[in-house]
Amino acid sequence: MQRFLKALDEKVGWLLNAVAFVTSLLVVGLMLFLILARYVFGWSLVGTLELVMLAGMWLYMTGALIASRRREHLVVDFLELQLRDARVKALHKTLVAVIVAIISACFVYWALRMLAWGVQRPQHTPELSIPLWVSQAAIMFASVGCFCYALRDVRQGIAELRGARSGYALAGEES
Amino acid sequence: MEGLFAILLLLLLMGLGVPVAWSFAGVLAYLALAYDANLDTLMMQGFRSVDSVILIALPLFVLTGYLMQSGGIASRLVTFIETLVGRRRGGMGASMVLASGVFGAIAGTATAAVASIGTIMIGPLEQRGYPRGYASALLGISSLLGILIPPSITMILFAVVTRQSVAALFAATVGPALLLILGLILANRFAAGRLFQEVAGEGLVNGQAPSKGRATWRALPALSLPFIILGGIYGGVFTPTEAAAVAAFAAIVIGFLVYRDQSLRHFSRSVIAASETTGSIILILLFSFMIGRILAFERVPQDLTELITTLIQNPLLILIAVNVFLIVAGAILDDVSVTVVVAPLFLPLMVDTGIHPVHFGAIVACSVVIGANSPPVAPILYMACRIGRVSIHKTFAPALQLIAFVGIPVMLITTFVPELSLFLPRLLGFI
Amino acid sequence: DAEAATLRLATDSGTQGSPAGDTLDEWSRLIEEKSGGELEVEVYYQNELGGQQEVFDLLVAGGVDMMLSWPMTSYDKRIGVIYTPYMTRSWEEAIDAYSPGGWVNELLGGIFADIGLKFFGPWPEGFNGVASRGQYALDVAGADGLTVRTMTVFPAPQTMQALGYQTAAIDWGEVYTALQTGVVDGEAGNVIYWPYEYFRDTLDYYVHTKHFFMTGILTMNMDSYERLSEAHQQVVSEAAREVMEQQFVAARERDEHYIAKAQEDGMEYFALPQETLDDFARRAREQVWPLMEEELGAEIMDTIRTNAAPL
Ligand code: NA
Ligand code: NA
Repeated sequence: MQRFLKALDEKVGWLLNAVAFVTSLLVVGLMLFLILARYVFGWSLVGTLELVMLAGMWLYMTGALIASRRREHLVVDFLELQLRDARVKALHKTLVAVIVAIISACFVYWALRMLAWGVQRPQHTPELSIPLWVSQAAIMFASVGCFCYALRDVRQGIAELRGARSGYALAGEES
Repeated sequence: MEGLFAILLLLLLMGLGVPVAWSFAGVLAYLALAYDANLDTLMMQGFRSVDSVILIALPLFVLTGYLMQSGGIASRLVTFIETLVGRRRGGMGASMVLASGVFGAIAGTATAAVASIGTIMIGPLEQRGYPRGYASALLGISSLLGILIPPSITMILFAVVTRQSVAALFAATVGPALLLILGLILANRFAAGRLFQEVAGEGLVNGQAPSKGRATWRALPALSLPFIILGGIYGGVFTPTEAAAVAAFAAIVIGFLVYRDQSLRHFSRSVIAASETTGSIILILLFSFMIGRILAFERVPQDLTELITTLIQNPLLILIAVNVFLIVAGAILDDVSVTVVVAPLFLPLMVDTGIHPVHFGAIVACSVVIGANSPPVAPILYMACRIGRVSIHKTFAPALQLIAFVGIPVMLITTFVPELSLFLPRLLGFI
Repeated sequence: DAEAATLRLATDSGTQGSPAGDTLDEWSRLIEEKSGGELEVEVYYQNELGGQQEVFDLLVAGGVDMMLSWPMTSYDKRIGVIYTPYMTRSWEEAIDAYSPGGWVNELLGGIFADIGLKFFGPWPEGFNGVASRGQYALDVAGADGLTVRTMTVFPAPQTMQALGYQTAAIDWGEVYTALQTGVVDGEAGNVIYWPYEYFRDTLDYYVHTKHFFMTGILTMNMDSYERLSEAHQQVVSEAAREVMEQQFVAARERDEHYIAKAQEDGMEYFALPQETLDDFARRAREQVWPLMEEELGAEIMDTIRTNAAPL
């Protein structure tokens, strides 16, 4: 189980990085193309802007997910730094992870409602007729991903709590 | 009542150590419940808010910042500036301030400067006797030059929300930026003799320092970037949003082909790190936009300004009250929320009081300089702490000192001397 | 039986005190008056609830009940039929076609019902034109090399290209800056009120190309409408008809008023001779209408071809 999860995490991590890399370059490249097309050739390309926005949304949401995976979301760590006892630390970590899990479950629900409503009233971009759900799916993807990473943190917090209780101070290993 | 509870909940969640984005989402969940928000459109509104062409400048400027670091552009700039001022009293600190300023003329965010300048300079500053807490606090505030010196994401966002000219707002914050640079250099010079002892010793450049001429020559490609970007914007070649793509592209070209410091490995790492930074900012933005929408629906903004105008009639007092309000809001909210949610609330009031919207934009930018570094919600200061590898609470005292003796005076002067911010936009014919 | 209710009324274009803002005030006043206070109306002006697309989402989803809307085509591209170039070419023609019982009115009513909206009627602004800076064009040849920003909605760029212009895709939030710095030479697609009100410091010329008859739409979420008692439905519809009729008179006067005012403030205004407008119309009908047929279907374009006055 442990090994499977680790392998899965690595695969997912690779995939997220790849998506972030490709969408970033797409945003830069398409935007430059838009400037060149207008300034040098005098072409108007409404569709290019639609593609930029689509790549941008996937970039945003993949980036947010990468931050969740690496636990790099901005945090006020004042309290955390005051805690010394390994058990209390583990308890704190678990508590925060549970709160994040609950909140990101709300996020999943809101995203679902958005998609559900989008099925009822589908929308398309004006020029290329790209269905709106293609970029909205990025939000769904991020919300589910963030929820999963919150569960991972809960699981790890509990494991640390157990470890601390039975005398093995594991706290501090994760950072 | 709900508003008060929402603020308390936000403070509780953040104080507990729940990531800022999720703290906002938690408050959003509470408000959605308390006000019975329409859940069919709640997320949709958030989606529409971040699905904005103008906002695309954010990932691009963040990326530019990372690429300037990995491509050797930031280090050339720092070396160049250090050969100019580094050997004087407080010179190292002044170098960091000036480097952040030059950096700010290329990148549109503060985070980019924190990451790049901080990584290069915090170590050498410590060797010269600067306490890490102080150095990180100074880094936090000087990095905000990135939003005062154009191009600036914050001013773009403010322009979008208030329908003002981006070009005029860009020009309006130049005066306050110069004032902030001056203030920080003076404060640092004062601190370097009294709060700690600056020791003579190695500069940034280990071994033989390059000559002024050589350092300038090597920094030329980097120094040309601000001209390309600002020249392109004001010359009508591209829009401020598109300029962000040009900046990123130029950073790629200079890193790979001119300095040849960039490697594919570092490049891909920078791109991914930039996307991570962007993603964590966007998540905060997403939820604060959604909170803003719920509050707008319930007319909280309107009620709030009405409350202030009934309480205070004197224009001078209104200005002071708005200043105080922005500073307090900046303490408990992130800079983007202040810019796009709180500040626009006061715009009608400000215009009634006789303040030009572009002038108000400059005031808001100053408040963001303070807000982004004032705890409890001080994203830039915390980021500076992470880069400076120092505990957050060690920066509180120096950060508050810099805010009290530099940040707030700059904001007050900007507020009460309209010419400081309106001179340049008028000269350029934008207002 | 009549129950008390609060209705939310919004617009995507029009701040408090603007013509559209005043219409919201008037519509809400009439509703409250006619219902004897049983219906209350909360008014949200431009930007208070977010951008254009966002407010339209709210209307379709019922978060906002009623709207004076410049409709977006994302839900149904057939809504783009109101942007058919040179479909109606004079005020008289336009008012006949858009009034209740007119052919455009019936066409729009059906399309709006399909996306769950009750269509009360148009809120016309007038014929649009090209506002520019530094240079201007009075015919197709003169437009060569002139870059204008258009709405991103189909077929706005295609129409300007048919008139000889180059077009640029610039987000609305950047139009002001783009005009100031010269990324684009002008803005094409509005009645003179908008460039005068927002960009008069920057723009020097207004050429009245009259390619679209610009109109807002008075509309309501169908569920919100059907939830009302029959008497209240009557109240809302009647109030809508009253503001619409007021606007039919006011719009034309207002457009003329702003043409005069813009000239007083130093903007140069060009009315085009009939031959030029005929030439524009011929080109647009030849080049753009076939594109629209591909996008909107033959049925709609047949209706337009049958009803539009021949050149
Ligand atoms: Na900047
Ligand atoms: Na703060």
